[in-house]
Amino acid sequence: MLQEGISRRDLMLGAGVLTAGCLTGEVIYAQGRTILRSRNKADIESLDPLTMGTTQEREVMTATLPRLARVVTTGGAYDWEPSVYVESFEIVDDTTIAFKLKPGFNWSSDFGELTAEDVKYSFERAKGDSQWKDKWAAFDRVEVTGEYSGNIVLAYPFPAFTLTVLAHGMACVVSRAAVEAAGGKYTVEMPATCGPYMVKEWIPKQRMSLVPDPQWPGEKPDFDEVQAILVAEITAAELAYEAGELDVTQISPEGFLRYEEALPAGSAIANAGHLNYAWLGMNTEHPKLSDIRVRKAIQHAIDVDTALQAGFSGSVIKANGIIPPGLAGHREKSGYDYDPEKARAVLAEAGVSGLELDLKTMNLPERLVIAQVFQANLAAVGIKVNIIPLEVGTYWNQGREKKGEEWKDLQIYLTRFGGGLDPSGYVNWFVKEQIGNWNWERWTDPEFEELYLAAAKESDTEKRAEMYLRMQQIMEDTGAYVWLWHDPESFIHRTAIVPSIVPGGEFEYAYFKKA
Amino acid sequence: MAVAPDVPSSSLPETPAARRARAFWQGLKELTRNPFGAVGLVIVVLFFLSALFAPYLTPYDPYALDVPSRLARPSFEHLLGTDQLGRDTFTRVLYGGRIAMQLALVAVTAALVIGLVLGMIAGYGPRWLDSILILVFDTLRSFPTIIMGLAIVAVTQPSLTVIMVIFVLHAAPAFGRIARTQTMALKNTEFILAEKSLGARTPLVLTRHMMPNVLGPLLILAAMDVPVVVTVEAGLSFLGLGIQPPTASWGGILKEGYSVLRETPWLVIAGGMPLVLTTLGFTFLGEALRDSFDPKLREAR
Repeated sequence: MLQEGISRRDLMLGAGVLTAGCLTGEVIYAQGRTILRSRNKADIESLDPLTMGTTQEREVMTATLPRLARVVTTGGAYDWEPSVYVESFEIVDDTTIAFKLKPGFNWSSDFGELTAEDVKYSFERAKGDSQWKDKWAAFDRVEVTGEYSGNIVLAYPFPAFTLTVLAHGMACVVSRAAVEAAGGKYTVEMPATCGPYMVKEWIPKQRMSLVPDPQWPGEKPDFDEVQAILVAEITAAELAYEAGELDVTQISPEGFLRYEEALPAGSAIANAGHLNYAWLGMNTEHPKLSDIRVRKAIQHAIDVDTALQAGFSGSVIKANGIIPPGLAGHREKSGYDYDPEKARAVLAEAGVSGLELDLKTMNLPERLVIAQVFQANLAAVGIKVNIIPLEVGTYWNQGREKKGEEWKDLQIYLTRFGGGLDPSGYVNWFVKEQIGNWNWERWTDPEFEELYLAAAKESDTEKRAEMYLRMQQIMEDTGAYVWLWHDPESFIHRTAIVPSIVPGGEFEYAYFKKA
Repeated sequence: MAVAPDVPSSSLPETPAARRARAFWQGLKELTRNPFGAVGLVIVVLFFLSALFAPYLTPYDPYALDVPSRLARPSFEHLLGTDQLGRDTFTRVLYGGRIAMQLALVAVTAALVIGLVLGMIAGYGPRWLDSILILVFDTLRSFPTIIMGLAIVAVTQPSLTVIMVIFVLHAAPAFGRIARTQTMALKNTEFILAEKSLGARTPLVLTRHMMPNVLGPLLILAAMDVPVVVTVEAGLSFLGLGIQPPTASWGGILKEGYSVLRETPWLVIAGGMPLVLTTLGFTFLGEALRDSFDPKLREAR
């Protein structure tokens, strides 16, 4: 989009620079300015920590608002570190975290300095009236002990609080004075910012532009402007990248394979964490699957390696449970093997023959390919499978009692969830109260329930890992799961950029560097 | 093919059946003289033959997985390469032709028969019944095919039968409209009035005397509708709402190919070419049939 006042000469110069940039892998240098162009997969709807919901909203918020902690990856494991706003950060005991802010961080629009009162206001506001309030369940209050210092008090011990809450965009701090002046809530028009970047302009359905905040006291960001450009379709984003219209974008599994074979000049691939997890699920209450021997037979009948080769050409990590690598409780091996003979024997023992099952899956290319491998695998042991591809919205209603009657006839399904940075965010979907909501396998186990509560409060990492391993064993023993894969969030970027992408796949614009 | 009133008198009296046979052979002769018609006929014959004899034209099982050989380029071993599961694409194109053939024969015939019967009832029956049937025809025709298909699939499950139902709902009103018009034009002609004055019952008049004359234009329309039903299947399968895996269909091959278009374009070409050829073949044939058998066009020439 051309800005007013651009002359033909500017245009020619820009075109030349753009072309040169495309050929050399450089980012755009327009009239001495460096512009980073990234892809937004959806439009911005809210930049208020209370109501924001998407990755791209958090990307803007974490570049423009303070946080107390940020995620770091150390040796393949996920951890946190105090943010640049924090002078000291101390875990006092199981339920108390003491913090002290650095002085000198000022809110825009003359709303004064960032203080502990702002932290208290932001966190207590988030706990009370936020779409993230479930995540804030362990939080009780902030006790302000000085202008810049305070204690975060938890209602009960939750060792993962800093990593899963404070380092997340939901814990961005807002200016109490500014938000109160705005009536207590806002959407996209931020009443005040205090970050390395500030919002330059937001053009709905087009782009969000950020520029460095001139009053930022910290290290100046490397880019003179960040343009987060809306490109909803991922393959369109890949084409835009190849055409030189973007400098960094997420890529599809097919794109990942294609770029691995032939990377565009001046490009590199970056993988964030493999935090997604997929499995073939079975409804244990369905009459066709209520015999555990049938479910166990299906576990043995599925050739996961071949399915992953067909669907992803081996670009994903084979799953042996739900918790991905890098998190406490990640399993290195499952308790069953691909063994069609054994599957046939177990089915014969159960006296089951001529079984016909409906396999529901999202209507996505790689899922349909994988579903066809399963169809062939199960046909080989005498189970006929009808693949039923469904649109995204329809698919997610299948196991939810509030969404219709489909759950009653749900049989087997290929599904994938995304998780966070703590194992508690993986197992929570399978507790008893999730039956009829997200526990589509519809089983319950008292030991699992106890472990779920105990593990969230356990501060000993090894003990915690043992608990999560045991929980996955319980899940597997129901026979209701065939573990499939952990896929990464993959990105392509110019080699002139050193991207900063958190494990969940969010850009940290403030930490993007020029190579 | 309203031949009865137009047949010139000759020295020997000709039975209606003989007249129709003569007109048929005359039309066929003209059809083969028309280059587009000849090309269309060849393509259509090849389409049916390849679908019928698919198992004898390829050594591969269309459903056998061979994942290590996935996405192979075309070679002597695999004429159109392999798909994401290592299945031979040429084989799946041939077997996809069987689905297209089933649709062409069953769905188009069903639409024709239903349209013929309802159209003749509308044209020959009382006016109130005609009004009701026309309202039904127009209502069904007002729905875009794919939108109607999406709505039906949303409340059922995708299958070949559902695709056939969708097509019949879409196409039968068109057949019905033509059958009605032809029937109305014929019902007051002298030979029909003569039959009725001789005491012929309505079913006999309709089936023996009117139907052969109404059927001609419908057969031409049927030929033109074959590509429509094939593309409806391809469209729904491309959206994942048509023929379900592992059954091979051209739309399904297109869908699978689209997801790997930039890695290997062969799947899209393999799924698209038969669609293009079938459309061309049946359209050429339908146009040529119309040119050959439509008495008005023939007279104009």
